[in-house]
Amino acid sequence: MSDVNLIITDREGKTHEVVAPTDMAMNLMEIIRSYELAPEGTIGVCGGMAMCASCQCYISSDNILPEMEDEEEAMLSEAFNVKENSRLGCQISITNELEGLAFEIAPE
Amino acid sequence: MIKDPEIYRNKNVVIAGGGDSALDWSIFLANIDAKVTLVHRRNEFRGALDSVEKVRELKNNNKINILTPAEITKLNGKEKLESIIVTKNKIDTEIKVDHFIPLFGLSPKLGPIANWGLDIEKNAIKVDTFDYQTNIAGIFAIGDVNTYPGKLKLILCGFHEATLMCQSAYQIINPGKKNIFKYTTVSGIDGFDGTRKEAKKPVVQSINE
Repeated sequence: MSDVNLIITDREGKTHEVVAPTDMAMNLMEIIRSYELAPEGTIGVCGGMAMCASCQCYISSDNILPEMEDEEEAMLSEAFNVKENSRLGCQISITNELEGLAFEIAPE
Repeated sequence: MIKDPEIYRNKNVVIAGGGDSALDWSIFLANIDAKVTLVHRRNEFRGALDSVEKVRELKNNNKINILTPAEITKLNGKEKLESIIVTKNKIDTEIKVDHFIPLFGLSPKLGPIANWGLDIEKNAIKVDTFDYQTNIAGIFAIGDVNTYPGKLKLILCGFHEATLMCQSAYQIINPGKKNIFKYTTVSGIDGFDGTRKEAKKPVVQSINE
């Protein structure tokens, strides 16, 4: 069991250094919710099925992330404010590879 | 949101999106003779296999017009929508429309309910778990829209909330009327089709004969 450190910038521009467990089957969206870095009802609205893009994040560190699956790509192709470094937080599981990951939560 | 599908009959309808809602409404409206154009940013649609196949069939039978990968980049009209601009391969095409239906995924919002004077916390309506009534007597909130200590957004919990809420609402609607909690498996219930629905009675019989 180990934890990883994440650097999350919320929608107000405030940066938070948080600790995320790798053994709880959690993803980035759930970490944001568990630390309440975005108000309930504005993030993870679909429950983590890549159906709503409310957990869109801009990744700013160079950690190696899992490849995008079709569902994520499909949702991001319909979402707003999508950038080159956009990912859906719900599709990225907390693993050791995420140590030091820095990202910003996209606007609502 | 589509409230009355009939208004689309024989009309030029443009649907935008690539998920189940976009596919389902395209199928439904094409089948009531709306002239449907489905616009999606990608070539691939994400939905139930059956829906994707039905849309493909409609397309092959020229019952529906599909524009992919394309985007709606402009809405035109005076007082009401008259046409849209679809951009495909960097080329703009104007399409006359009577109705434009964008279906871009889930976005549950309280909308005008937020201004009803209800106590709201974390984008959800606060309720008393005794009967899921809000701070305004007679207004109940059940399911994902409500919140209370320990709330879990489970369908199971939504049904539970509905059950207790109905008991309480019944008393408001029928003040003073005697009501007793019963099991449909014991006493049956009148179905919406007017017939009595009853569970099969167990037999009372000896096995040793």
